[in-house]
Amino acid sequence: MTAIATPGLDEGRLTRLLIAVALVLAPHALHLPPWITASVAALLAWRWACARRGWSLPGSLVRGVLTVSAFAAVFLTYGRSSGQVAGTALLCLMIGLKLTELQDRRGANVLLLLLYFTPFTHFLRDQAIWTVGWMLMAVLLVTALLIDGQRLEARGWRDDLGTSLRLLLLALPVMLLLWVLFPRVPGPLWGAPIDQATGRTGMSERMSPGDIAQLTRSDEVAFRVTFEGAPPPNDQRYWRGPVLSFTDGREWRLSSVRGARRRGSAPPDIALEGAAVDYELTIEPHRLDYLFALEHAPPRALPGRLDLNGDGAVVAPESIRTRAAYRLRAYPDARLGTELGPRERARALQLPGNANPRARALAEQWARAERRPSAIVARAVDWYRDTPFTYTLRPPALGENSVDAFLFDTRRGFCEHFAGSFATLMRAAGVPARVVLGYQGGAESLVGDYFLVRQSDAHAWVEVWIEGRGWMRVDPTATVAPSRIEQDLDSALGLRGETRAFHWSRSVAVGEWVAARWDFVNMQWNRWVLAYGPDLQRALLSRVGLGNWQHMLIALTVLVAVAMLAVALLSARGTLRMRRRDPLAREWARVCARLARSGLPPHPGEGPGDYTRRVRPVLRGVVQRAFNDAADAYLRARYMATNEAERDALEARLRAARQRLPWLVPGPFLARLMHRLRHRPRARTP
Amino acid sequence: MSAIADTLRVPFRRWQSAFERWLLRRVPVQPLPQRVGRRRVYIMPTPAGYAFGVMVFALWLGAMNYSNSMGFALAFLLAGVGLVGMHLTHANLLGLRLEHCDAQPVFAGESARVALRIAHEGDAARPGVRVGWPRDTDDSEDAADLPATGTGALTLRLPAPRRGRHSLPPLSLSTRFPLGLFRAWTWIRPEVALVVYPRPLPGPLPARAPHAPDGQQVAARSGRDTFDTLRDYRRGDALHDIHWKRLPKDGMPTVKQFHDATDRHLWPDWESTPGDPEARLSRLAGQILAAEARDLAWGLRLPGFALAPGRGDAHRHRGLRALALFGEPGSA
Repeated sequence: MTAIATPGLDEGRLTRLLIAVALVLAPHALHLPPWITASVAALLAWRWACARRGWSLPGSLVRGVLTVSAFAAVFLTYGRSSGQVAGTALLCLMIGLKLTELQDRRGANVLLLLLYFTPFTHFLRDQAIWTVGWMLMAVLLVTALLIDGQRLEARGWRDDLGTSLRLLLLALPVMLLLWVLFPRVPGPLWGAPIDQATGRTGMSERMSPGDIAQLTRSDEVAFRVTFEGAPPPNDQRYWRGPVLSFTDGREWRLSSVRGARRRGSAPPDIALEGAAVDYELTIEPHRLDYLFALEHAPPRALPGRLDLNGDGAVVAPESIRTRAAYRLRAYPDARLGTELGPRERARALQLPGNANPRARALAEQWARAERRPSAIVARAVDWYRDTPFTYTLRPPALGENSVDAFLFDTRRGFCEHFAGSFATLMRAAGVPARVVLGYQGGAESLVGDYFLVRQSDAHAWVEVWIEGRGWMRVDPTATVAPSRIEQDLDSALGLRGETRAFHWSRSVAVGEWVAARWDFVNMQWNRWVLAYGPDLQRALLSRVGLGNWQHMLIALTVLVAVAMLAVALLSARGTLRMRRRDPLAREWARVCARLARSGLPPHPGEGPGDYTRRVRPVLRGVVQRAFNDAADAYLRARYMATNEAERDALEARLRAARQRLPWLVPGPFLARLMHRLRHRPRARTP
Repeated sequence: MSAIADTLRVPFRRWQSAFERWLLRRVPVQPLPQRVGRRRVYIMPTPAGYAFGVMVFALWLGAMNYSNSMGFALAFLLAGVGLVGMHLTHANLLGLRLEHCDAQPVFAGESARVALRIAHEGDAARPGVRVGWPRDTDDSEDAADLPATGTGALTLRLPAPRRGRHSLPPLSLSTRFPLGLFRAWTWIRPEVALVVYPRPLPGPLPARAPHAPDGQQVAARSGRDTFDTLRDYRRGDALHDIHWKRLPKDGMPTVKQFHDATDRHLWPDWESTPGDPEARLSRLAGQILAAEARDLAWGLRLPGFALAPGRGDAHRHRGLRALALFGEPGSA
């Protein structure tokens, strides 16, 4: 280890390393708390100053204190020091701390391996398109630093980046092959991943006045839909989510127990009628497990591990944490829940004892006037149409009896006001009713053949149960503000001169154009890249006959082997080829190679003259003449040619002679044999 | 931690050594220059390479657990980088030529300096080319960045404990470039011998001997005709040369020194040097060095070998070489 014992880390190398660390860690600043970002930045600056100013690095005591305080601070921030979020924070801090003890290249290599790993911690939070570029940049930089570490004398930064880029370009095909063909296994293998949706806007399983209005302020995409045939009309596109059966007079919930969920109850009986609609739904992660399938999904034709819950909504086994695509089918005209058991009926008629007396009085008046439930419903719808309601995002605050206050005093409200009050009225009139949350409508994208359903399409409507018909959808919002259902929220608000908060992508034509295209790209990204899991892989690869994992592995092995062969040939191209600068010598080497193949190689150290003299007598006929010519031309060109032109002419002669040599020159034994065979018949004929 | 690592490392090291010995038995001795072809290049991950492999595996597991597409992309990209890096490491060694390998003779107990020249004709530079000895020989190592179509001069130390002509142990030509995750190496056994002279024992100047023109064996007393001088005893002096009579007077032994009246040359002589054969050779080497240090001409007599008197570097090397090769078949 004489010459390589102390591979130091000079200032140039250290600066490049620090820049790489900063660039690789930068995106983590988007989701780590500011104090961690600041600490890591401070450690980077400190280490740089140490190198620049010649300060000594901190001793082991200082480092120990810093490490312990880093652990403590992470623990205080997150309440734990393991797990994804805390782990990411700790990893970033440890990389920063590692810098303070970094002195030689060996330590740098450990750091570089950590840096290779770091992008993954960001991918757990964000997998947008730009992260691909960032990942490639990170790997490029780290690889360049590894390359630099292997050189004895540092070359330019550009040299290392060039080598690194070449390596990366060769590695990309391997990555693509592995990515597409390596059999994917459905996760998770251990503990559930963190809830990526924390802090996201999304539907909840309860509804009180103002909730949905709050939600519709967001333009975030809830899910995207591609219809296989003609898309159903706007007023048919109800995307079913939580079904709320319990009300305390103001808030609607799943059941009387706050937070309790109804699970395991059998799906309602559904009578499939009318035409089916096939579509593919790519859902964004949100807090709940609802898929927001189009009404109504058939109970026994759901893909994967999806299920239909007791209220007829499609749900995943756990909350939807990653973007995923599903192929679904819907029957818009199907009848849901043709039978209603006594318990269900009681649930659907529940009302708090004494709240909203005026609404009760109105409903009881309808119930007395009409006998049939459907007539009561029709009367209520008429009442909503005739009452001067205002559809607005900014309704006034309601008092204790919120339904009474809304129906008879303020009369300004949003869909949750209409749905909540309508269901209350129906229950008071003895008609089983419930509130359904979900999305309504969705706009066709300007680019690409798909629909975008945003949070601003969140909606609430009512289902009433009619004997012989089942649960029937009634949307009071449609009677008050038909344009909300037939078009969208903005046009419904626009009729009354109201707008949502300004947003460039909604308000400027160019913005709309750009946003549409960007969303299209994202859509493709989500659909083909991020949603590429076990199901999609099998579906896609079975089209080329690689439907099971054994076939995938075989194809993968073969293709990677081919790619590696190509890499081997490419990388060894310049090294093993006979790379003589002198074409004359190359020609002569070929002549010698031909003879060597036939068992007459030149001896080591034997010059061309001696070789020729030794070999010539052994050869026969054409071979001998060709070899004579070749040797003569070579020796002349080597030792007698005086100018370039002469040498070129001799070289041409040498090449011609070489081409006359047979591929395999018969050796002495073979030549004698052939000679004898050729001459024997002639000797007999006379 | 390190204790555990060490106990784990010991059997691993042992296995590595055994594997290396098995490989080395297959390396033929060949004349230089030797070109590194595809056939005998071995490649294994370095410790960093194993760590990298474990990390990629962990990434893959994590990506699978969280169904994270970009995590898969990163894991597979790194796997690709590792695979391509392996091929580039291999290619960094291919086509290198050991053009020259030379070891200057040394005295036993010293370290020989083996000078090497490595060249290649590739278009790309070959950074981080290292040379070294087998694991159980010596850990001397040298490295060079070879420029495109260029040569590099490297030097290795080799301890030379015993006299004689030793063929060089196999040389390893290795590289870890570009990523340091893999080490590609090849073994070359150059047809080069290292001559190790006997370890010189400091001794008296050799005696002068009468001229023996026909090279015939002179009498045991030859070269001791005329009394020359008295001098202090030095280790290695023959017992019969001690001036016993003066011993009580001086309290320390004195030696009678004779010289040859007819021949002015010094003759280090096997017969007149005491000790077992190796000690004799060491004394003879010491005598040669002593004579050379005084710039006196000397000749050498060994059983079955005689070197005519002379002096100078070439003469000295010839003499020492004869001592080094003494007893070897076909050495004379």
